Amino acid sequence: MIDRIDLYPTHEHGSFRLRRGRPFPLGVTMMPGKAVNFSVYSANATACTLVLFEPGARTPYAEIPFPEEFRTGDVFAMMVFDLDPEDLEYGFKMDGPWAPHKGQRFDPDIVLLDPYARLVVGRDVWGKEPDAYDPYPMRSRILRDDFDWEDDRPPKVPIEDLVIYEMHVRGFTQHASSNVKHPGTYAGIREKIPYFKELGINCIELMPVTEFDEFEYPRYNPVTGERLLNYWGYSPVAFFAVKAGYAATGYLGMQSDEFKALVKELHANDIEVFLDMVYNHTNEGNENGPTTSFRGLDNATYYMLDQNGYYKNYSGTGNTLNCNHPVVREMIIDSLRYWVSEYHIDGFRFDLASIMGRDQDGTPLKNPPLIEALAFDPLLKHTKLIAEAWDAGGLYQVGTFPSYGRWAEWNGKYRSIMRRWVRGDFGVIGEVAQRLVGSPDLYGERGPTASINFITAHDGFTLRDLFSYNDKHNEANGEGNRDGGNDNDSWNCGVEGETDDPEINDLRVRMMKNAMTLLFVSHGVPMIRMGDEYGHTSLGNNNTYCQDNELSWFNWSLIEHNQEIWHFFRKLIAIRMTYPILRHSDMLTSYQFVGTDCPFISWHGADAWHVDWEGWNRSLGLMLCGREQSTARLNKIYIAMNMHDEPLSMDLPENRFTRRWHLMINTGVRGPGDAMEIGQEHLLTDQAHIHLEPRSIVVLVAK
Amino acid sequence: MEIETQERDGVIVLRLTGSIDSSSAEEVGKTLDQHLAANTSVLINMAEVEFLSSAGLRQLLLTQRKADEVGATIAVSSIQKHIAEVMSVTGFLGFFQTFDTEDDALANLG
Repeated sequence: MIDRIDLYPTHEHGSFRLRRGRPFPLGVTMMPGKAVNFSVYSANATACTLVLFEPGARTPYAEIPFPEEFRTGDVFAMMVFDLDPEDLEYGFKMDGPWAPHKGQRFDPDIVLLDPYARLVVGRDVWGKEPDAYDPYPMRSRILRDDFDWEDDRPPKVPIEDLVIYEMHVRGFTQHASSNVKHPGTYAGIREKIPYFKELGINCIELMPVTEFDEFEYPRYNPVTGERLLNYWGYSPVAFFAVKAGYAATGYLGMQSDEFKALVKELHANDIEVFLDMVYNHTNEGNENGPTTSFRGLDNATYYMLDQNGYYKNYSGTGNTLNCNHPVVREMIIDSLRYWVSEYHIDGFRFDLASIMGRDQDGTPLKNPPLIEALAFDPLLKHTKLIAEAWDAGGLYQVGTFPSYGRWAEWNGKYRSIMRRWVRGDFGVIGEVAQRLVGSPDLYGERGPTASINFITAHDGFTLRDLFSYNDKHNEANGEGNRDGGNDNDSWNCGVEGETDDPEINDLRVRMMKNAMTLLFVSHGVPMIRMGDEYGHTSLGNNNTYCQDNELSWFNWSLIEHNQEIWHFFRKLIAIRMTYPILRHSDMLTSYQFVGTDCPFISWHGADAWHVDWEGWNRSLGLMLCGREQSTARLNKIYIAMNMHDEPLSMDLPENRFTRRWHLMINTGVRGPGDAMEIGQEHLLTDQAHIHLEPRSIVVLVAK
Repeated sequence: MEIETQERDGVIVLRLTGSIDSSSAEEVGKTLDQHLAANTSVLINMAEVEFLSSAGLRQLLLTQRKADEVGATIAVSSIQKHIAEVMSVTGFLGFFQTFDTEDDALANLG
């Protein structure tokens, strides 16, 4: 093959040889012949300068203005010859008007991150105190995206079969009890893959792994004086760069390879990888925030502004990314395509996704171009898309998020009503019934897999704390306990916080089991929060975003200590995976039948086939019936719920032929009798009635 | 970067000293390439390699690929622990046949 004829320099700047660059793709492209192509967008800048640093150097070794003729439309593009991509950090300076009332905030002295940067340096080692005097603390670097994936294939787990495990990269193995070689890193997770297999997890959803600045809050724990960090990282500085501080090799700039090696091995173990993406705001905050990239590149393009140039704040963090500006939209789509094609990511959860459906002036759109584009994107065709279908500007779209038949949602209504049902609230039975069978009131047309069911997530109480605290206790966050949600629907079971009272502790274990049993027998896609499987406590802190410590970290030694809960989780997951009727992808109804006598769904009370739907009633029986597609084997499962604080006897629906009811789960007793291994279900001696302890759930299978 | 070449028991042993990074990777690659031929065995002794960058790792893997193509056998020995660890967590280590010592390697390659 002969070389291209246009890869020679035409311009010079000092000792640098240059050529007009290729405008697309934006960002950096390594060209044959040792040229590097830089391309960056700005609609309102008057001039752009490429700034080059030797790695780690405080001051740049070169500043190369883009010649005017290198600008095509709003894109500055330039090739620079004879650069060593590994021995280089870069950024851009943008000149233009300082006119905040018009939304323009150019400052030619600031070196800005490339919004398409694939590596960012500056926070390479987690928690390493940054140099306060470094004038350009964050810089872009060039990445070789040539990881050898060999024959990696996405597991393509059908969405109805997923068990999603929401987790934090650092928090998973940072605790000394993890015993991994590289605590708190991607490599640490890789060492723990057998753990997911053991528990039955087939999908991990990572809280943000795009680069962020953990030092962005100058705040301290008012009690201990501990420096508070942005531990969660819902504050992206760049959408294409994987967090360096989560990599054991971040100090070498090899975080991308390390993360890809993790994904590759997860895939080899049939585990999918979802990323939690934050496209609703950036780290730059409001007028008083730092300028690291977008504000300096083209403030009026990247952010939603009011008519006086102030930041609109639908995210609750100071600014709002202007998602439906065509250029921003393209950046978002480009980044998602990048994560799918270069990192082999299987799905995304979109933080405050309703913002992605707002117009440039903030108006919610009926047919939002960004959300539609993602739904039909050719590269994302098999990628799971999950919306957190609300925002901090008052938009709440659970059940109504524009889905185009593609988008699933975090079912916030599921979370709320199940919490209330388990703690024994009156007046919720009707809605509970809807939530158990895939929320047909919300997802009747889309099917139950549009519903990501969860009772706990990173936001809010842990499962244990949900039944140990009536109120949040966030003093350690240094915000006077004003942060974090107040709508917890929690119950402390009699005493606020930790207690030695064995009865209360017993009840809490039962409540946790009740909540998880509901989650794993519900139609839809279950998601659990890291650590809930052993009953992790954050001591009542329901917003541990800044707690890089034991409040948040997974404590591996507690698995052994709390093995009753852990094994209960494991068995529940196994039960779900054994019976397809629990994972149905179509909306089942009570007027479809298997054979002549067994409806797909039937509701029962103390008397079989009869339910009192009045609000005072806190007990309910649900029978699910269906044939497995592959074997035509009958699945028949009965779930008896008693959320009342008195015991209860419920009639059991009769079985035909030789089938008998067998016990799989009984949260009313302590382990190991609380859950059976598959194949070891207990035959009930009384086939006509089931006795339920106060506040307990029984799950039966007919066989 | 210094490269010392010696033939031992029919194996071409290349002992590298220094850093393999973007400034030396090309030279390392060229030197290694000269020895790649069908049915030859090449051992890269990394005992004195203190630093291996992303470009360096890629160069080694390229060499491995070229060896596969021409039918040469390549092995790497004596990798310092911190470097082996980087190679492991980035997923590169599995591409190479590795030995703890040069003698171990020769015993297996010879």
